[in-house]
Amino acid sequence: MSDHEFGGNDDLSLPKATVQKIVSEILPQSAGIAFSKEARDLLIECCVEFITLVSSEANEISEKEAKKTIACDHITKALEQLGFSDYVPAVLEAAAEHKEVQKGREKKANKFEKSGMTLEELERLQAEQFAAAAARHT
Amino acid sequence: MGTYAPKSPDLSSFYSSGPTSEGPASAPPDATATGAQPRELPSQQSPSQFSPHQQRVHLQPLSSTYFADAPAVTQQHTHSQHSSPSSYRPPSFSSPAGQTVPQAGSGYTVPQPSQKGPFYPRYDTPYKSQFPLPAAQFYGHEASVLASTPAIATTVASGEPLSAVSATSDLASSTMPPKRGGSAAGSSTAGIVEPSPVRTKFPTARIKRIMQADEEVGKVAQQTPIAVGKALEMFMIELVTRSADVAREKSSKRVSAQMLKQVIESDEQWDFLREIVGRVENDEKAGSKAKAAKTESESEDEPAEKKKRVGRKRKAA
Repeated sequence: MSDHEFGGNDDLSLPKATVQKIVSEILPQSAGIAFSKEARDLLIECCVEFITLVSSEANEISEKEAKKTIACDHITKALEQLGFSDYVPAVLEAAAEHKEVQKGREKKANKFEKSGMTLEELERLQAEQFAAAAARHT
Repeated sequence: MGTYAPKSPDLSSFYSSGPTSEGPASAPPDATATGAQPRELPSQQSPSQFSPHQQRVHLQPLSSTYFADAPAVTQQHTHSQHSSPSSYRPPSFSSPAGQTVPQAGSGYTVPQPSQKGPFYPRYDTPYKSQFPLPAAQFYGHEASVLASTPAIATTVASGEPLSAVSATSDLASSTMPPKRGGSAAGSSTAGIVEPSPVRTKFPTARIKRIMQADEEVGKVAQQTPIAVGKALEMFMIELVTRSADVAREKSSKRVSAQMLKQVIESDEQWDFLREIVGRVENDEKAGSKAKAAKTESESEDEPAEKKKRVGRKRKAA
């Protein structure tokens, strides 16, 4: 029962190991300062609250704009309204990076389409490859 | 020059066949492309003698479309380099139209994948009119430049409204330059406080779930959890470094929950956390005192206790 309870709790919380890892990345061992477990747990709660706050603010903004989906823009606006405007540049950068990665994926997917070959050519190539494969198996 | 005339019918036949043979994905670009083409076709057909001057006059208003088309041009250049049929290459780059007409006809009848075909006629003419120099040379130069810098070509192409890239990525590319410039400043300010780059990322699925735990929150764009995750990272860096500073002031090697609480209560920015911190207050005071007396063995028990209490309070609240 308690397992189930905790599982449900963890779902709407952040993974402790990840938080601990990030904390130790922020506070390297050379700094000589560690984070106690209570502090970490409190920090996790604060993080969840932060996410909730930002997303509800962003939700309001998106509703005002008559948008059904919360976009990156709404998050940055929410951060600004909540007094976290110093986070905005880094957030935008992260989002842009992500977009670029995705763009790369799209490009890869389109490479076949835009291989510069005409349909006829591609068909010919396919036929050749089929023939080659068939030859290999016989 | 007189042989230019047959080219136009071929082109027009291709336009009509183009959209029908293509998938629905490429339909919007075609629609816009065909919207622009009718304006050009008369201009190509009416001067029976292919005079560059007339063309220039007709097409100068379209010079803005030239810039929009430029990425498409370069894309086609590179493609055509790879493609073996000579029928496709000549029409786009050799400006003396008369020479290439027969080949052009055969080239256009071949169904091109995606928006290539519809694009070509639009950029081709303004291209020539704006750059009266030998197109082959110009093309060669430009193609090599773009081949060496594929990243530039792709980003520019995505900003183009007619490309198959989605509207969101259009936004992305339009807002990207300020992002990069600003981010350098942002990260530097964060870096001054504590030069510790956080490499670990929060699981986006978890962030999304937390966001959507609020019933009012509906759909969330794909990058949104990533943006929130980054903001969260900044938030953590600020809290952790500040509480570490407090620990240092107190010459403690451990950041206690109470120190975190102190940091949160010290700044209006963290108002929204006061409730959470307030709940923990009593526990932490007792805990920190106990810790002062004893050592880590106690701290292992405490989190479990705290968790339970917090859980209960959460439900009550």
